[in-house]
Amino acid sequence: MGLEGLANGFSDATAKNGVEKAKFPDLYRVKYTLKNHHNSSINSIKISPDGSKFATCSSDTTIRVYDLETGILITKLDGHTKGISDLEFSPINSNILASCSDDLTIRLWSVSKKKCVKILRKHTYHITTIKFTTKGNMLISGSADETITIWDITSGRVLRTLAAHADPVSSLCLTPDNTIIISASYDGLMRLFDLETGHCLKTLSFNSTSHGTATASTNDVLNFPISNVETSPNGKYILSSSLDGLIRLWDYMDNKVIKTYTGVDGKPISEKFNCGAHFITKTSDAMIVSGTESCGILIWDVQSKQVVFQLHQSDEPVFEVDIYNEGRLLVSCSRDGIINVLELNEKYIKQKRAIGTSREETPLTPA
Amino acid sequence: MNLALQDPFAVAKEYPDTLANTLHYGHSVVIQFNQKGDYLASGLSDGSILVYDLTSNGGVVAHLHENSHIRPVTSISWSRCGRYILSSSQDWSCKLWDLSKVNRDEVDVELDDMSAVIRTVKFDGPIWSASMHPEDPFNEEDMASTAAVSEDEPRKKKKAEKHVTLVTTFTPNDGSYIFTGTSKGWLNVHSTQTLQLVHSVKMANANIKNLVISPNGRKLAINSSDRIVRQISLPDLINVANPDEWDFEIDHKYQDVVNRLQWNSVAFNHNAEFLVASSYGQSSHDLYIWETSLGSLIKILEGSNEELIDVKWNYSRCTIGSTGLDSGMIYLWSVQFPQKWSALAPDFVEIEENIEYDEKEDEFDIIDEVALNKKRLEEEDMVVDVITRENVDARGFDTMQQSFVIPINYEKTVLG
Repeated sequence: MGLEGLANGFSDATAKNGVEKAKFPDLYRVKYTLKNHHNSSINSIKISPDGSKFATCSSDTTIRVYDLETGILITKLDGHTKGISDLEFSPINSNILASCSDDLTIRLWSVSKKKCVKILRKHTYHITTIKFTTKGNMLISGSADETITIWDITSGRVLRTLAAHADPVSSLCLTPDNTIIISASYDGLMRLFDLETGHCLKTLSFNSTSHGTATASTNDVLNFPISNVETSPNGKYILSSSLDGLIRLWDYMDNKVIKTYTGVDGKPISEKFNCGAHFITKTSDAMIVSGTESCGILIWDVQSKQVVFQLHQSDEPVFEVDIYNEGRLLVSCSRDGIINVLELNEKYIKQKRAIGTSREETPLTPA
Repeated sequence: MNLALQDPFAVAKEYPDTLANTLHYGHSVVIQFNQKGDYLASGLSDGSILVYDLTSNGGVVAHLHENSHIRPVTSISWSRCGRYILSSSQDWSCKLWDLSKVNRDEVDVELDDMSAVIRTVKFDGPIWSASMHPEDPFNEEDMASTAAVSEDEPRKKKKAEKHVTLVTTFTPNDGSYIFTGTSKGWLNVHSTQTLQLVHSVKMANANIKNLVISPNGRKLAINSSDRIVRQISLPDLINVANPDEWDFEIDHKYQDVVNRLQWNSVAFNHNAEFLVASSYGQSSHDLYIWETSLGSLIKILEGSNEELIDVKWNYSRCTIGSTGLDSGMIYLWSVQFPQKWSALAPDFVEIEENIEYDEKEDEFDIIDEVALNKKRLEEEDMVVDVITRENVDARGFDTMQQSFVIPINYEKTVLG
């Protein structure tokens, strides 16, 4: 496999010399590329839980659903009156997807019926992000009105509104057991909420200086806005992207940053846009993939923090990446409307350990 | 994972103390939590069954009403995987429900196939209780059921003469024995395989109303109409194969010596350290929790304004549920976690009283930022495992357990 040499810890040489080279240029290969489908920037891209299709949403107010294998357009969903920031498939039903828009609505769509089946209204400003719980019965939305709303989809009611941020909420994620919501905001804070009680359990912030307070509004403390959060597959760590151009891995039990990832040659990853990031665990060493502002898609080795792969097609920002089957497939969308579908090179796939140590997915959820 | 961040003293509590929620859709007469503890099934007096999702504050996720019972439900039993429900009713039947068939679209299925019932067994009398075999929900012979009023013998049960079998239960874990209680106070043990009576012992002089075996198989509680709950340490049923060697020794007898109340229903917690019971009579509205090793009363759960009938313990969520007699409401007691206000501001701490603050020597030193960042980055050499999950939560319950997820119809709401 030749991956052993990576786990050597932080290498000072790469940071200083700035001649970083992707270790595995053949890690992913482009399966296909779609261009000129949306008339405007594509803000998010998501793969359905059954892996049959993916959907994109755009500032041109439309959602498009494609066949993942072939890239053929399945359907186009119209209804939003303003740009769409985020979308998400129901984890228990690949025919249902939810989207959130600047028109202050969240819509649930049936892909096969090509229609909107439910509209959720509550937010008073642009809705930036949505997440389903794994059982698919609750939806959590974050908005530029600085609140987070928890919806019970079966009844369409608001279960709870969490108003604890002082700037737009940019990103949300859940721990794998669905008990903690992690929210990120432009106020520079990440807050951990108990999903059921709505209590704030913890707040994380990164201070550039060693003194001052994180939450006090003093001028000498600068918390960079957090643009994206994601939990590690085991839920013990949080990956945060902030607009100081860095991605950080947090041990939230310990309130500590344990890894910091930088762009190619120390360049910022993103200082203006919210670029999604995910963990890839299909490879023998865990990796992190993120979109960037001007360097295409970057993939880091979690341990060594080195860039191991780059797909740099243009200098346009890549807004979102999504993975399927732990990273076997990777999709990305960018501001110039380009969709890329990438496939992991088979030689990097982690070998199955002895039978019994790896848990196979049991089909408890009906298809 | 939320528990790890909560107040450790609140997490360590072993029994609930506060009325946290009430659920009121229809008139509930019997309740049962699923194995994982995230769903609650409620049997209604109209014969239908509601399923609540406890993670969404008690939202109704399914209403089993197509082809349902036509008389009040008398018992509910979940399969271990959480996909099947066995219900019994006063309408002389038991029904097995497949929850994967709920919340479907009319267009997807034939109209006469809308029901989630996959099997119905008719008996010759009202059924008081039905329980599912712990390991093999599909073996129909293993669905033990008792007909109380009927003179006819239930199909797989030998019945002692003149005794009427009132209650049954499977032994937990392997389900190799069926325990039954009779109207004359006898406890009978049948082998599940052969259905032969293997052991019989007289425990009381009155009706046996409930038989409850703790989930770990250590203790048995017998609630009989002589106003006493008898707690019995079970013999090792697996390793001591000869039923004649079994000894059913009474540990404690629980009774209300002042008011002489009967007990409506009893339940154990997961490790049989606690026992909860609801009491009979219009004047009593509380649940009683005893500690089982010494037999002492440790908590009275208050908050309902009516007599409570059924009582069940949700192990992983540390919640006790009970149904009200008059209103049919479900009351849920659980452990309350206080909001820690310091969680909102990471650099503040909550203190009990004023403390004299000693400034650290280097607290306000100005450190060169570049050097600081370099130092921080150099410290980031630890190996992180982002994949391996914790097997147990902060309360010690298995977190890897897979459980069935009830499908949702996104196009309409359950209670139209």
